[in-house]
Amino acid sequence: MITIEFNGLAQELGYNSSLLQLIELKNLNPKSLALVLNDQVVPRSRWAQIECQHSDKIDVFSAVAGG
Amino acid sequence: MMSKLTDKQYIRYSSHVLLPEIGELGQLKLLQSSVLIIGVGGLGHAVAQQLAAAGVKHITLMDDDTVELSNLPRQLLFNEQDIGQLKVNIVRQKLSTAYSDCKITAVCKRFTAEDFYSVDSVNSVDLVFDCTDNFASRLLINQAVVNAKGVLISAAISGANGQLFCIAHSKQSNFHGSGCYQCLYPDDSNVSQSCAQAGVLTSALLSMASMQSLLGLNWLTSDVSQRDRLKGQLHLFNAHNLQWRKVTMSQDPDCCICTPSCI
Repeated sequence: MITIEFNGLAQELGYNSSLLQLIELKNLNPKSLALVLNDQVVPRSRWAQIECQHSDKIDVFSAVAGG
Repeated sequence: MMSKLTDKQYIRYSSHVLLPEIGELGQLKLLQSSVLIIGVGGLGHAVAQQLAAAGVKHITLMDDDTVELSNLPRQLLFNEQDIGQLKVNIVRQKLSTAYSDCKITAVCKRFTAEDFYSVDSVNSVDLVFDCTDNFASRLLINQAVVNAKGVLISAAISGANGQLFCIAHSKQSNFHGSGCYQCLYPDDSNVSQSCAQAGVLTSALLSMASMQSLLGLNWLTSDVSQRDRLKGQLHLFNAHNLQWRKVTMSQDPDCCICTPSCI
């Protein structure tokens, strides 16, 4: 297992878990979110290819369009 | 082209001229700048006022909305007598009276695909401000600015969450690195959060508008190397805990809008 920080809270994950698998584990809709990995936005098309690493800081947030 | 401020301008803009990062040269840049503000609601009316007050030479306002009663708590340029009138006309009238250095053009229409290559819209301005209230318009504006190889300053807020960024084309890298709005939110995203749906506090909204204006003013008064530090950063605002966070944007290698094969 590895430990990451997800939206500020510790989260245990299996080895080789992708960013997309993490989002699915959290029961979140990928199409409603943007994702930041260690202070860098990761485009949604890359989530399935990128594996979470121990101590990664991952944050997700919803798109807003109001003005 | 102006090479120095008039005596009246020196007095009027003295608070800017005193700043070492602006000075007379920076104020002259503002007095020669032209911007397009798309959406003249909560964000757009406040951005327009701050840029006009700062001495921006020409502001084009684009919106087809009329003033409604529910706008008044957060769109502070409007009053009850303005209800039913076009927002662009009211804002032009009030700001033209208050800020004589600024020419304001009102365009009563929604931004559409036909504006992509219009000389009067994105191609002829130094900056485009996206102040709209819906995802479809934001995608369209992003595509237009990328196609025009322009500069986009985009802000949005809903509830307690605000987001702000600047993207800009450069000859060296196109949009490589930072990407564009569609790299952040692909066009199949579910985006339903507008101010009308999720609500917003006026002070939170105006905080976003002020940061959007400030980013624009910084851009207009900066040199090339300074501008590199302003673009490609996503600023996230949480109005509940009063915190800002800055993260680095990334280009989606599969983006159909801003990757080199698309431009």
